[in-house]
Amino acid sequence: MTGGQSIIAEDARVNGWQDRAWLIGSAAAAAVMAALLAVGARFWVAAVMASLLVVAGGAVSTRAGLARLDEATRRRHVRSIAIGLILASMVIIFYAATIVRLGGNVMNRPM
Amino acid sequence: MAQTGMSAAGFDLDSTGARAGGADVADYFALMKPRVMSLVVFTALTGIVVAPGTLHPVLAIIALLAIAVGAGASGALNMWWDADIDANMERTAGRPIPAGRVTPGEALVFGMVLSVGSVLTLGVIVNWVAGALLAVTIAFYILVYTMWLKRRTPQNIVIGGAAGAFPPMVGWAAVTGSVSLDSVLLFLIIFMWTPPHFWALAMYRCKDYARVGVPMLPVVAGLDETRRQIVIYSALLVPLAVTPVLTGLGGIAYGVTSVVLGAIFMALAVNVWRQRETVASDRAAKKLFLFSIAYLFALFAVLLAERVVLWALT
Repeated sequence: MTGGQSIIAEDARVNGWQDRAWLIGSAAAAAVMAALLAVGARFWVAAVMASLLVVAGGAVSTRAGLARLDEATRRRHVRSIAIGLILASMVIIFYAATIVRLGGNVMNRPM
Repeated sequence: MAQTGMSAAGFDLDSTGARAGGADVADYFALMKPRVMSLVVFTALTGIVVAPGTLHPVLAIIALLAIAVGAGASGALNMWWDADIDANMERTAGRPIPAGRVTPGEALVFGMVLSVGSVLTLGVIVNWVAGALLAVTIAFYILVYTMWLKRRTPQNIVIGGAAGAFPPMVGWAAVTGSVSLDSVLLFLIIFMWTPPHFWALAMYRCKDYARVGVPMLPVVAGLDETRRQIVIYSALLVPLAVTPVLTGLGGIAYGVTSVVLGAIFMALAVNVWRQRETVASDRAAKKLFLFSIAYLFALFAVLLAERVVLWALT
């Protein structure tokens, strides 16, 4: 294999379907959400299903990207992703707790 | 340019002595002592379920998460303080700090952030009595047990055991916003269970503790005194574990379980007292240690199951 062919093969590997999984997942999410809403499913059910597809696509892409990094950089990236996920979880936890504690009164406050 | 080298464990180290690229997420998870955390979560869950009153499921999950993270924070801070001991004990030499995968500074910051975060989360979202109890639990484990008692007295795990006994009380307080006799009973069961559990472990890990200078009872007072103390504490624990039946916290199933398993616990403790030959003694201690875990788990599982069945029937 020539140098040029090797670079093309490497590009093909780097830009494989796993690297585009986030795009595939997002497109599938949009399609699934539209289909579920069209058949009368509840909004939150459609949103959860769509979110799962986006997250799955993102996870596959991230995994493909991490596999090409050297060990030290990979560890740093994984830590950053973990911190991001923890912060996102905190946002969800506090949002859910606010809704649970205040319920329908969340918008009902004296001006 | 940074100097690089290799650690004893074979990791690339940078000029600061830290592992190049830092620790894995799994190393941070290991700092939280996940096995200890699982027992804490289980006993706290029991406290939440058996407490009178109700707590919204979302808040209950958040309370459990906060208690789990608080327990993990205690584990990380314990590993930070005890890294020197851990490096010289067979059982703990592979932990993230002695193995060179996490620096002590990283473990300290990690533990502090989780401690403050878990207490504030529990206090703000659930209630401040539970938050304060969690703060006391973490402080007791780190300041009283780890920093003060562990290296000074053979009574370390008797008093320090209180830290491990708090979780069901925290769970109870998450629901009721208070502390009551029943929650104190749950506390006392774990408190009394801790000495025979840990002394059984210390009996067959005696050399490890002696090497690092931790004054566990078998190291300081000898195996015979440890056997005697195990029997005494077991004799206190077994009837105490039956008392939730008297207060109405436990039902018939709990009563039967606590009596039957209590009798086995007592028999194993007496067996530890009787076996003096090294191999048989170690085997008896291991049996008691393993059974003690199943014993505590079963007591709390039955309490939990009784309440779930009651909910299902009403």
